[in-house]
Amino acid sequence: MLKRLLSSGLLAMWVASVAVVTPGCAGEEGSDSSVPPDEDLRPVSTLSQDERAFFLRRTHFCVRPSELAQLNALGYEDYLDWMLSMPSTAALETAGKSAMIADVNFPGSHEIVQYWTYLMVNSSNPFQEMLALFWHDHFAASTDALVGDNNWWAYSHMDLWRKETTGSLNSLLYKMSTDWLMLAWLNGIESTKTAPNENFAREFWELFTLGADNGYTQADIQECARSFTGDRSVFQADYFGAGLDSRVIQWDSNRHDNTSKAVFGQTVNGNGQAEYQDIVNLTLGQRGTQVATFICRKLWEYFCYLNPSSDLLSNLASGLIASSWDLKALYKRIFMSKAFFSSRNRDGLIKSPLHYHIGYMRNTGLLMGWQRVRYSLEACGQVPSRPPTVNGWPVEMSWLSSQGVIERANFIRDLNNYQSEQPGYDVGNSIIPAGQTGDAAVVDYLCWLMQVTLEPAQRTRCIDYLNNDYNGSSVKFAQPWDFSDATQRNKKIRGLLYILSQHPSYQVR
Amino acid sequence: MNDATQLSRRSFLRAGAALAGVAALGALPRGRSEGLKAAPLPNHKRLVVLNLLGGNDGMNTVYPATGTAASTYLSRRPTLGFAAGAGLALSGLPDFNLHPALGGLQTIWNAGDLAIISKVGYPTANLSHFVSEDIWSTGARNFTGLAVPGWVARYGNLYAPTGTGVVSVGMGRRLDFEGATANPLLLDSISSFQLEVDYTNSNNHNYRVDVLKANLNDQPATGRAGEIAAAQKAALDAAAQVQAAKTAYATFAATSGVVYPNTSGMTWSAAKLVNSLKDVAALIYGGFDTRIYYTGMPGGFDTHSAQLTGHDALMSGLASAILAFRDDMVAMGTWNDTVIVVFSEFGRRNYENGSDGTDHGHGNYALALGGPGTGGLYGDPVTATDINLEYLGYTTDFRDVYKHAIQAHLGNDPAPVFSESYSVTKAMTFL
Repeated sequence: MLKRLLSSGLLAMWVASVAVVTPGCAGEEGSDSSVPPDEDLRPVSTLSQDERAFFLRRTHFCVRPSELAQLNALGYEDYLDWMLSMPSTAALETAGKSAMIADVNFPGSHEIVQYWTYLMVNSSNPFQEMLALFWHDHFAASTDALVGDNNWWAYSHMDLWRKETTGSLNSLLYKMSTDWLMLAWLNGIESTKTAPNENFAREFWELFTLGADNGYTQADIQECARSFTGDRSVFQADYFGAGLDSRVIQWDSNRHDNTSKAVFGQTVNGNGQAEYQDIVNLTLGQRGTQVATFICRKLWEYFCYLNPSSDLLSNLASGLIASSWDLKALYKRIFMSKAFFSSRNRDGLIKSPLHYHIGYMRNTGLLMGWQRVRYSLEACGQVPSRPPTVNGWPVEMSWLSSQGVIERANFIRDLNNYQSEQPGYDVGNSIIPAGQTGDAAVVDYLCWLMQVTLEPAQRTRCIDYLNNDYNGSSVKFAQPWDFSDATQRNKKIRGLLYILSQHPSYQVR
Repeated sequence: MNDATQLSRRSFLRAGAALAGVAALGALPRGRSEGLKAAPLPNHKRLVVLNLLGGNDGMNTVYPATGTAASTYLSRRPTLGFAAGAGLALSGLPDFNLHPALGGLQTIWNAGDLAIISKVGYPTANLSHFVSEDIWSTGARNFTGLAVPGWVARYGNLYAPTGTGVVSVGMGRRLDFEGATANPLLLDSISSFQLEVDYTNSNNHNYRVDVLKANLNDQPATGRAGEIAAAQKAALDAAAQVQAAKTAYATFAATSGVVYPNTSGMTWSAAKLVNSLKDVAALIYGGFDTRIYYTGMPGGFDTHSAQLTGHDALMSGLASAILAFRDDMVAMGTWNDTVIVVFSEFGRRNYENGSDGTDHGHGNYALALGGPGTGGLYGDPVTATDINLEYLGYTTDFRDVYKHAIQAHLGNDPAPVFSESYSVTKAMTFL
């Protein structure tokens, strides 16, 4: 019904009439008109083109004209439904593996990084990859935990974040607890009934569901660690065919502590491998409000703004619990909310290096050797499949350390310097629409495309840049802008992209 | 929900950064006013803080070698424990040995320049890496609501308020620096700390750089964009200074005879320390006015499994890196102005786990090295009773170590840097 109301524009009138006729009366979401705009979870009515572009900029790495057109054609809510339906990406994955990985059974850890980067740059559903990054950061596990020929375990690990995060949180937590890379990363495969390892049990609550010191004790951790015992890594000859050995994870009931445990004051009976699910159920059952609040806060701080109010969180969290932990409904509620389009939210979050790099490549179509992209991500400190610690990556101004500022500029420089790796690609002709090729029009169009806000003096200087150049002594000379001159077009469009990509407003998403 | 989680770590960092940005909107004072010199600033005292991230196993770094302490240690660590004599002797201190890979530290001990401080920690153990790190980074057990979150930032704001007064190398933007008013220099390495030229059109590239810098100067100092522009301008200013220091140091290093360990084949975290300490040396040689350098080994110490080989590589890298740095400071004639404090967010369990590793603990050794120091064992020595506990307790608050270094070496009043009161306290005398 909501969808119909939205498309007919009736909802806006209905919401407005509620606010006007009965101010202070509870609205559809249990909110009232006294809720501050940045906490208002009631659905938006109509969205301007600018607001739609903002949604893409925040959740799709960048604004691509083709994606905005797709959103406009479907309408906002239908577009959300489409993007959250996670259409199959099998063809993309096949192409990515073929381009990035020499031996698909035995990828190297660098190949895994480049494969994931390829998916992010080339996906036709960029939200899927943005969301995967959120969960990858939240459940931060690194291929550093893998040895020898086991890096293929990363395929199912990354697909957990790419494909399994629109169902219930309960099911996601269970799948995460049995994921092979996670079992290796947090010592699950070394944890046995005679020597339970606390690492996973601790992080399961501290980092994944509850937050530090929030509703569990050291004794709970020790008991819980005994439930998470029994998986082991075993060598399998000829696993991928004759002579192609590998290691796999298998359940071994002899290593599982099947005696009863006391967690949160409840008894967890010996239940074999099913105890992993029992612990998930117990955590969501006994600590549901804490879990929902913790997850909603993390998600809100990734897609919206930092430090949301406790009212907002409790509103979101109770919705999550009421929906039986339906993550898709939670995402949709966030993106449909008025708060998402509030001025506080539009103030901006600092792009992480992946947001910045992937966004720029998707924005401009400029690519280079994938190894170079990886080097830059390493220098910037954000390599997909290799978070630095179990706490994931830093956020916000942390990314704009002195070094981070320099590395961002050097990445854009690399995409100019290695243009021999972009055979046949004319960036100016590819991204500037016909009819907008004059000096001021080019500056204004690129500012829209990149969502950069220039001060008047900066805009004048950028137009001036298009009409001049430097000689070998850095002395400026006049060289009037001529878009039709391929050499000048290539030089100056790339230069303008470099300049705009270092503008303060391009650092926010 | 307790206080520590009311404000999430992410918000905490964000809030601190905003504060730094707002305060930096005015002129950006830089450390070097007279142009760079090819020598350390004369009589300029500095502290090098060296963080071993992940929870170093102190019990195997300095281990008991005599009496019931030694036998208890070995019985609790049948696989991981070192027998007396398996490690390195500490002359004049027969009760303890150093980890066998710490030869470089043994050399410094023999020179009388290594202080080993036992059982360092903070009130009420917290076995989480991140809570523990936050305590060390803020210098406060209750760290919510601090106006200036980082202790290094508080020191810098009070006593070294320039863009180079406090510097981090190879450790990212740590909470220790949040709230600094002068956009402190936080760099990964000096070699990568410069704008690369687009060689397809270097003339035009120079024009682009000038335009982007002029644009930053035109950015109003207000709002989010102003905060970001301040950070960007500070970075670009710093890059020029750092490259000058790098050039001067390269000339010096070519003839100093100091040899840093070869990093090929080293574990990544140790290689990072070698490179970071070399970079610190370059900044010192470049005449930077820095009072606190913050660096370290950014990982690898969370040895939950297969600890023996992993920890050995870390210890070996740590000792060889510090020894080379010491030699470099001696060659520059500035070892007597330099104190290094080595710490980790917590120690590990006294007993080994079933994966040939150790789980999180609390009390731990800290080390203080430098020309001005008096070597020896400080704090309460670890006893068999301590080792029979689950993990080491603490009898020296970590802030007593920092306070002593700030007062006795840097010559500043530490009280406003560490204002939280605490009851377990022990006066330090290693300086």
